[in-house]
Amino acid sequence: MSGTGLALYILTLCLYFAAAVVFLLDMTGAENNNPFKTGRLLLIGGLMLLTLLIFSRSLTFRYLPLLTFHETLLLLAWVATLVVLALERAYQFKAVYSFMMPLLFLALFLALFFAAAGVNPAPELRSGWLISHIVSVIMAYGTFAVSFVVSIMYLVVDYYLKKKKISSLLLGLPSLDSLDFYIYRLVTVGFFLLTVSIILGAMWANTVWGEFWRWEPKEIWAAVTWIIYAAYLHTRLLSGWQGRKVALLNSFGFATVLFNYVFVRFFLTGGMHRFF
Amino acid sequence: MTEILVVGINHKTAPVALREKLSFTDSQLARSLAYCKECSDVGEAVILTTCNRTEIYAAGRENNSCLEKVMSMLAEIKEIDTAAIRPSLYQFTQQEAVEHLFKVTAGLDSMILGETQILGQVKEAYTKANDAGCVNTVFHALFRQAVTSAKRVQTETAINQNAASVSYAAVELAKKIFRRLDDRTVLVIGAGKMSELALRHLYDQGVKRVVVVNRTKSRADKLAACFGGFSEDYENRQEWLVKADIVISSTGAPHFVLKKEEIASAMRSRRGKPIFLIDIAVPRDIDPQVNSLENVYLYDIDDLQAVVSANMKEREQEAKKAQVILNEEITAFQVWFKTQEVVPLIAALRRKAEGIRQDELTHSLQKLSALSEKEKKYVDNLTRAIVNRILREPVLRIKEFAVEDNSQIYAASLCHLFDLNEDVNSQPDWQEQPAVKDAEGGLS
Repeated sequence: MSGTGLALYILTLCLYFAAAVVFLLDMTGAENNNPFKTGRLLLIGGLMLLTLLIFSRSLTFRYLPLLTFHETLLLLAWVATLVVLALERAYQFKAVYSFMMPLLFLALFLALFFAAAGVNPAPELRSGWLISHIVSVIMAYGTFAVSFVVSIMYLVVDYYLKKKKISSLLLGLPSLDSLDFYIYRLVTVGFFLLTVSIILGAMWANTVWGEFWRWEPKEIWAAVTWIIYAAYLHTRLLSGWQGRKVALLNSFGFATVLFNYVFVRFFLTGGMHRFF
Repeated sequence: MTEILVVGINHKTAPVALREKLSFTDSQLARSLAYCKECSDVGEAVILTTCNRTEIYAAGRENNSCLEKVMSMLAEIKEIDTAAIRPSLYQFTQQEAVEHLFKVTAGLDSMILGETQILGQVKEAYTKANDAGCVNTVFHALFRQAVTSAKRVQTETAINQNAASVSYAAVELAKKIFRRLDDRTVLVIGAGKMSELALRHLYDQGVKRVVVVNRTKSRADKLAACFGGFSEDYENRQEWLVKADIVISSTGAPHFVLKKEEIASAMRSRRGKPIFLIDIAVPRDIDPQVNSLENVYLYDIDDLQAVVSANMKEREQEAKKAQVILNEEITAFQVWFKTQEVVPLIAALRRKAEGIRQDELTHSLQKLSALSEKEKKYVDNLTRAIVNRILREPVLRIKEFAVEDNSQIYAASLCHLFDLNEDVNSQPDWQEQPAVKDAEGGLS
């Protein structure tokens, strides 16, 4: 990473960290929302810097920087930040920040350890199919990450209601009903993106190898993830199930996402997915 | 000097029997305010009367006459022997009276710590006094500041954000389970008084569909009718467990009315949809084991009571933060109030200077008869400018020392130095100030 790139990176991290701290302190649910506004401003500042970081990298290589773990992790954090901001805007869902920020910060912080010089991509990696495949899958993962955090919030509210501990933390959180609804909304979007991404990936594979599906570990796990989220949507939508188990199922879906994104990438894959 | 005082009784100093005697009806209130307006010793008055307190705030000359007038007003209008109720009365003056009003307005002196109803009552008391012409500069500023600080307490602390009663605790919990209450169904088992109370709060929060089951159908009908609901046969309760979202149970049954298996089977049909069970019966109606079922949230009367006590502890914590806010606001008022005290002094000083200037100016202009009108005007402006320049610093200093503790010493020496005594005393400080009329008289 260049000097200015690193400086930009550190500054982004600082803003995300500051926002995380502000939101964690603001969990008491007091009506005064000045700290909340400060936190959101910090986060928006961080998002802008992150955008700049990704953009400057893509300018260097005249290519969307999405070929290393570091690069996809940055995009993932970028997407998740956008989703969180949109979610709060749409539903006045302020509490989501307090739960989401530590995760966002962690993602950016981890990415620091995988920072490597950008790769000047081989011609077959400059394909439009591939680009849209990666972008859509990262968008899906970002959305799933947020839905996972909301599921955790569901489990937290459920836990406190069961234990009959009515703390100020609980008072700051939305109702079970609302959380269930947000999860459902997020998974619907994420599932759509994942489906699109799998199709695009298959199209790209076809242009490179002449076959759509090669049973690589990454592909198999993507299928598993797809099936779990399909199962979630099926239970939630078609048979109208809701409640704690459904939130657990959704968390499980994200576990497979993580497994695929991290574990499979580093330990199981040898094929074309080795980059990301 | 103006003195602010308050005389009153509240739930801490007097039982309800006595508080009743001292509470004012609308016509008594109007007569009392008229009485105060007529009385020259009482400059301003506001009477706050609620079911938990009666307080008379008055401002007037700093001697006992104001207090005496208030007491005789009480004796006359309420027809009571004020000496007999003296032990139950509390009475504060100046700083203490101000502090008391701020605490009362912010709900820190209320039976339920931090409640906000009192704010509206204070505003109303102020408005009535203002309409009766009993409010002047001091009380206008005082009550406006008190209302502002109470609002700050409400927005900057969480003092009123949790439930202070069992029924509200139930509503609060319901809102943590359901996004909206107006599209939810409440099933009431047992049409007793307690059910009605719990139902009342849910109904006020927007619950529209109410189903009542009771062993005696006629009582179920009666309760359901109050809330626009309907009654069902007691035997059909299992079916309604599937459809309802909130269940209030309060029967006199000596055994469990809802057993674990019944709820478990209902939950299967509900497909995981959360259900909130409120068991306010003693002995309990619902098997406590039910709480271990997924998506079932069961609260009995003790659980709700525990929520309320925890909330009250939290309110006490928030009250500390509130007190800090009140102290800031009280200081702000005191600064204004003390500055008001030196207003006559400043006026006297200016009058004195202006008198000297006028004397000397007339004297000199007689000798300088050759001056043109323009030049006379110039000399006039010149002398005025000199006087203003000389007085500017002292006036600023007077306003500064007004807020200090030993301000009287400064004031006295200033009077002595400039021989102002007569001037200051000839200017009654609170009576001649114009009454605040409704242009900005209302408290928002």
